Amino acid sequence: MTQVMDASKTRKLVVQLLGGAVVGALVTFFFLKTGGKAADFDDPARLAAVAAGIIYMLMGGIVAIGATAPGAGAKFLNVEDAAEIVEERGKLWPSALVCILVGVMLLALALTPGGDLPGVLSRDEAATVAAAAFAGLVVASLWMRGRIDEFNRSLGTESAALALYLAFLLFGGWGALSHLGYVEWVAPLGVLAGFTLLQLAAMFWVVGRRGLLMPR
Amino acid sequence: MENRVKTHREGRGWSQGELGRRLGVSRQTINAVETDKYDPSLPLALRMAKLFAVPVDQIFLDHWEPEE
Repeated sequence: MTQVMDASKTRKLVVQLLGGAVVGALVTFFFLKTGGKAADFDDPARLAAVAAGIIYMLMGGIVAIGATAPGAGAKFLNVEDAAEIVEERGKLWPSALVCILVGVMLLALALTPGGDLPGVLSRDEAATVAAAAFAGLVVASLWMRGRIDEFNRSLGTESAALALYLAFLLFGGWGALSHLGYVEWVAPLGVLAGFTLLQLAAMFWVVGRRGLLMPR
Repeated sequence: MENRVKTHREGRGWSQGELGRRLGVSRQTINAVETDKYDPSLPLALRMAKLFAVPVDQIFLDHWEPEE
C-alpha cells in the first residue's frame, strides 16, 4: 500500500530526524571532549558504551520532556495530538525513566579508570551509580509493565526475541571465532553496550516494519 | 488481517481514543488495528464484537477456505 504523507507530517518527520541527529551529535561531541581528558575513549568498548548511553539518555529525555509538556511533545513525539500524550503519560513516564537509567548505567561504567587515564568516576563510585541505576531500572520496568496494553507487550516480546537472535548471532559468532583464535574476545563493557544497542536496533526494526515510525 | 473496526467505530460516532477507553487499550492500539498493523488478541477481538454487538467475523474478515 502506498502511503502519502501530507506536508505537515513530512515536516514533522524531518524535524524529528534532524533534531535527533543534531542534538545527538552535539551531546556526543561535548561528552567526548570533556570526558575524554579523563576517560579512555580510544577503547572501542567504552566508546560503544558512551554512544549507547547517550542514545538512551536522549531518548528518555525527549520522551520525558514530551510527557511534561504535551503541547510541545506533540510536535516531536509520534502521536496524533497533545491529548494522546496526556492519555499515555502513565506509560511514557516509566518508559522515559527506563531509558535514562540504562543510559546512566552505561555512562557511569564508561567513565571508570582505564588505560593510563584516571577516569571521571572511581570504580567504586561507578559501581554504586550503576547498581542504583540497575535497581531503579528493575522497579521502573515493573511499574511500566502494569501500564502497557497488549499491543505494546506484543512489540516488546517481538523485539526482545529479535534482539536475542541478533545477540546469539553476533556474540555467539564472535565467541566461536575468538575460541578458534581468529579474533580477540570483546571487553565485558562492549558486551553490555552491544546488548543494549541490539535491543534498540531490534525495537526500531520491529516498530519500523509495522510502519509505526511514519508520522501519524 | 482485513477488518471493519473503523467502520463500526465511526458508525457509533466514537473517536479512536473513545473506543480505546471503552476497550481498555490505548488509542495507538486502535490505530494499529484499524490500519492493519496489528492483529488484536482473541480476547480483544471478542470484546470488540461484544461492544459493537456484531459477530467477530463481521469485524475481522478471513478469506481462508478449507480444502475440499
